[in-house]
Amino acid sequence: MEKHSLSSSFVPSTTTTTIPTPELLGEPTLSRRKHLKFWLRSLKSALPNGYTSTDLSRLSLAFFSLSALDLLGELDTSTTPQERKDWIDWVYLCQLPTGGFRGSPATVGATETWDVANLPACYFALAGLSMLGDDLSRVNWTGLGEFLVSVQRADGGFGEWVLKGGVSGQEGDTIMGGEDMRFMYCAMAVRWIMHGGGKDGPGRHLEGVKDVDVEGCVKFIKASTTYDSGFAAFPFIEAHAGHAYCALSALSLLGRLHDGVPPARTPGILRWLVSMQVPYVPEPDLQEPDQEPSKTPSAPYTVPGQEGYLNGKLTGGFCGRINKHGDTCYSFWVGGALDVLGHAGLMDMKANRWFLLGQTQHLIGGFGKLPGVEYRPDLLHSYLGLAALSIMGEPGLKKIDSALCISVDAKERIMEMPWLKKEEGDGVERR
Amino acid sequence: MPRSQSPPVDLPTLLPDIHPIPQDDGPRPLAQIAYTDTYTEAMSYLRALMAANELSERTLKVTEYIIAINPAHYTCWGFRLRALFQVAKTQPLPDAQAESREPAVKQEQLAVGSELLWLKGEIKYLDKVALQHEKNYQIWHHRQMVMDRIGELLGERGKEEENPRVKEVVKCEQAFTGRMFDLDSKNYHVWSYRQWLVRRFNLFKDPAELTYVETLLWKDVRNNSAWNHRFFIVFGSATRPSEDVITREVDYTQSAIYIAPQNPSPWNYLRGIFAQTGTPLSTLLTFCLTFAPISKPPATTSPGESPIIAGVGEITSSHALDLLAEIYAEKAKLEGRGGAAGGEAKEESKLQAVKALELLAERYDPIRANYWDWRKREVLAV
Repeated sequence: MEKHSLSSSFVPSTTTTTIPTPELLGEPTLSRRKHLKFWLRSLKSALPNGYTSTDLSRLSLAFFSLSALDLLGELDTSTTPQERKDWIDWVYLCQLPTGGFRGSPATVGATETWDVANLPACYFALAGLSMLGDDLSRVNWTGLGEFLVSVQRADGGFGEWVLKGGVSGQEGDTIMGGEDMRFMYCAMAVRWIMHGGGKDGPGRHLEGVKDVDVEGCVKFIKASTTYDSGFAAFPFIEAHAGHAYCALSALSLLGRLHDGVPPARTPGILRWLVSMQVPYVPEPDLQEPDQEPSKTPSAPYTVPGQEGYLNGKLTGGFCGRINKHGDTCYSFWVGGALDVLGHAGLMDMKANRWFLLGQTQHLIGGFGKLPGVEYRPDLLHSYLGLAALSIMGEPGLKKIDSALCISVDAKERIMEMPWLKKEEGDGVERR
Repeated sequence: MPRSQSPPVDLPTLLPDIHPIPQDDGPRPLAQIAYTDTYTEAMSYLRALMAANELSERTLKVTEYIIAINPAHYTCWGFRLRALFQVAKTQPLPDAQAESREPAVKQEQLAVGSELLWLKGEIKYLDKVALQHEKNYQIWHHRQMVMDRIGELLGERGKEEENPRVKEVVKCEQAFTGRMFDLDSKNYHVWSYRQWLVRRFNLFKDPAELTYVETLLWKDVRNNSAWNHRFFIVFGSATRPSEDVITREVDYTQSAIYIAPQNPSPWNYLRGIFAQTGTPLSTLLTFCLTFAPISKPPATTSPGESPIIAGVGEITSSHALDLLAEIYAEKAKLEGRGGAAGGEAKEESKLQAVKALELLAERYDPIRANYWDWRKREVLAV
């Protein structure tokens, strides 16, 4: 059972029949200084040993830290040029000689079958490098392009990595990792960065590099639409807000949003996305003694429209699936998806802000997954909490580009990369 | 902290001929993790074993050791899979041992029997790891590849339905995923695996699948994962469901709505059936009005209450209001096409749609007020 702090003085609103009168409460605010401290600590000192299970995806942790500081506007001011230079070198240490990035140097030395490129790592590496001020000139674009093509399946979806020689070692290569919209998203973000965001085709650095099967991507994403108009990890599995974000952002990065989501389908998708916003109902501290505790209770709403008022303020973040509880990261996954569709205004920003700043923002900085001090902040939720607030225009945070999940500044930096610039007499117009 | 204890293996003793390869993290790494000494040592041996590409029982031991500390080490899983398949093919298990573990082995050629035993042993190991690391997803991908090979060994693809030995294995898999769902009935990885199982062994017609979904929904009618699996079983195969099946589904869903009208899952399911079968939503008008009698006199109106609820009976479901608004909006669109005669009807339908949407925005679902307002503007634009 999820426990909430005993000090919470909220009366569960399920017991009330009328909306309680608003109390005078200070607006919760973003504790900038604490967040800054949290992120500098995560960047400059070793992470606790509980992060061992992310050892193979340390680039994702690096991305969260760098991008969080970037959103806070502190990346260039709170780190030294030498530190940034060394970090850039570390990211390149994760690049394979044949192209593509591993998630960390953990497999270096294990030979080419077992020390391989990882699709999400490629996205985190390119985004991280550009935030650090690198010009991406040391990226092996040909190898990266070939890796992208090699990790796409016949149905258009992407896997995570490629096992050379297949399971036996004597057959064709096998694409490893389940069907998963997150891999689609990472592939499309990498492709977007490779192409510098331009719509007029690859630059000179990509001459002779094969592109992925774009039509296959669109087909896979469309097929993953669910009966309730959400999106899932793959066709027929349950609709999930994280995968919906990945699906919509991937379409957007491909410049194919209107193919993937034709006007007739838009209302359904919007309906599903907004249905993820859930009034926050604190769980009672004490359980009925004879009640069998359930680890994953469904959200308890039974009376329409009566829940979610804490001290008179409507409070509620987002859940990831129908009938689940609000969780910090979904404020970004759903908010970002709505923003990509141009409809961020459909969410209740106030209620979402109250949920994030008043409930999951942690005393020591960062955000926990769920309300309550016992949910200690982790890097993923702490970053996505900031990212969600940035979509809603939180003062003191840089504006985020929802589809790329990095600041608009960082995005523009990529688009300004020198290798994308038109050369004299090139004749190619770039955006 | 790692959630489970590593098996007690002394690596230097197990691998005296292997020279560990330490990790080179560069002068100033990003996202450094305070590894335990145990993990650091084990990873150094793993790199060396990988470099030697050793596909042996020792590899199975070392990968098990790493996985216990870091179950998300994806190439470690890949390495284990290749080692397992190699060992299973080349290392026959002694007959006596095989017999004591699996009497059925007599009916098979020894090689196949031995390979099967290895793979079934792996499934047992995966049971243990999955229970320890509920949120991990690599385990399920690995299980899928092992089970696929077991399926191949047991009989011809596509003829699983009439193969009793396949049936037996499938039953075990259904039971184990059920055990996982006892811990978390919404575990996405386990549901993904269960769907794979249904597709791989063609279980769309296996009554156990639907029965199991109903057991879960009986326990928790709000379990959306169970609803989704139901949709997959009924509509996910190549065969179109019969009229009888559709009627059964509509009845089942409507009963679930009567039990908990504010539960969005069956409402979505109902929309799903209607979309699949091309049935117009307008046939649900009366059903919706049961839960949202928007034209009935109110039971009570407290002083100070918004005037909007005047003339409205007890609303027990915001989802009924939502669907009503959609039905009326559709109606208005159709009536608008009917020329001058439809004009009045169209305005009346628009009015009803707007009323439902205002009730949602102001009272029955205020957290989505912006959305309901947007829908209202769309209706008014008709």
